[in-house]
Amino acid sequence: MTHEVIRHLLDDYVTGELTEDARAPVADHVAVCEICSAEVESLKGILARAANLPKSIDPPAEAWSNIRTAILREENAGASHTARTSAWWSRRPLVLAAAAAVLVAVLSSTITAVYLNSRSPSRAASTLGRPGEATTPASLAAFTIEENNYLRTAATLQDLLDQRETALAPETVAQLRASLRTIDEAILEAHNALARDPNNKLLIEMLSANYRQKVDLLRRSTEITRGS
Amino acid sequence: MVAKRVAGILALMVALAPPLAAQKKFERKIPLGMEGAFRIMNMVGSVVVHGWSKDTVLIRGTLAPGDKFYAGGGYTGAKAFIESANERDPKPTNLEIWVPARSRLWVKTATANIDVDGVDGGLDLYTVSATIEVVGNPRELNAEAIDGDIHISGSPSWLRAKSASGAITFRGASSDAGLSTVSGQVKVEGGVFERTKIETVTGNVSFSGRVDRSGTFDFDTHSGSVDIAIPDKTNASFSVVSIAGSITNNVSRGIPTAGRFGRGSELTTETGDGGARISVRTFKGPVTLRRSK
Repeated sequence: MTHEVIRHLLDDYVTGELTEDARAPVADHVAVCEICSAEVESLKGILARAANLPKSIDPPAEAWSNIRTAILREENAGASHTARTSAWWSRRPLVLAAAAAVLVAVLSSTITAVYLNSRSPSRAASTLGRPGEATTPASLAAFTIEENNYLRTAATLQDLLDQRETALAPETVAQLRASLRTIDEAILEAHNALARDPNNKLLIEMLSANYRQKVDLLRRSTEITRGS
Repeated sequence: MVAKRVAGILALMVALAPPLAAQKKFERKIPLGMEGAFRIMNMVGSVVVHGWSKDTVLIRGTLAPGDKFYAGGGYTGAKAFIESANERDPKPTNLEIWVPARSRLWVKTATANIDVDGVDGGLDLYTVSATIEVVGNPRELNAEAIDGDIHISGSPSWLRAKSASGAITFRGASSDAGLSTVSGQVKVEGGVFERTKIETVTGNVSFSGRVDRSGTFDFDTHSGSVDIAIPDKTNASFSVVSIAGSITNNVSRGIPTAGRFGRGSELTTETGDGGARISVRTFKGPVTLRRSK
């Protein structure tokens, strides 16, 4: 088998899922190919690290309490002083910083877990959530944090896709870029609307949905270019 | 004159003969349990899969010169793939496969169309730019394309279909369906639907079907149009919001109002005694609610 074919089989080789007649030629190739050998070691490292990850991460109770208090304060303030325009996060930078730190850690772990899980056939990993699922942040502050995570994830996936772009036909690459551009234009349009209307939760949810679409398309594109 | 014509025909036959003769036909049988898993990867050409009542996978196909077919595995799971002689310019391989009807099937292609019929187990179908076509009632169906179309006809209990610029059409029924595109059109029609979620960015959405009274329906798009057609006497409550698009209501007397955020329009209305929850959200796509013909 050629290097290009074996490259697509390395993860099955590492996880022991390769069929018997394919395992031997892959092992022979890995023994003499530095690139594939390094890839096998890297995959083994990822599996080992993934095995050591906690099943779930609970945020410290104190941090959530702070966030809840701040949100309640904002809701109360909003009900009695609707004319006031300054947001709680601009008046409570320390609370925001604490909340942001916790949420970044939790969301980052969650996104990583979702990305890793998305490679398994588990139905729970579907990025198209069940109808009615609350998958969007309720406030602009939470969304800003989530947006940064989306941007980081999208940038990582885009880098990966750029490296693997040669595996796709030029017309497919053009089509893919057009689709990403379409999503980016929708993000920009919703972003501009949100700048004019920062309390509009519908816009936050739409923006969040557009980011999810972008990350999902990038994830699917990188997955499809990496073999079985 | 006749001799010249015969010579011409012979010359044409000779010219055509080598590539036809070079195509290598093959057939392989693999024992597989009735609920076993089978994975096949074929980048170019076609993959046609039929479900049958035998505990065997039968693969028939034609290989280009130099290409190789690999298959193996056990009674609970098997895998097959094509190795092209020229990875940069792979030649098409056409496969016709029979799998146990209740098996779990995984197919991946680049430009090879995927056609599946009669498989009732789980289906995971992936393509870059080809068409996926499924006929039947799989327990679970996950179909993903980058710029290929997805056509489904049947009643998968659980369905997820995603494409970017390709269209998705679904004729049938499902208790849990999620369909998503970027710019591709999504068209759903047929029987009874329960939990349903349809998302696009610019793709138009058309839904025409019966809604289960306990169902939830979410339609989200940035700038695609949303057209929802429901039968008379449907029990449903509607929540429609558009930031900058229009709302046309032909299912009740409800009149869209100015949006609560100072622009756009909103509509909250019911047909019958409520029941199914239907939510539509667009940034600027127009929304039409109407009775089905």
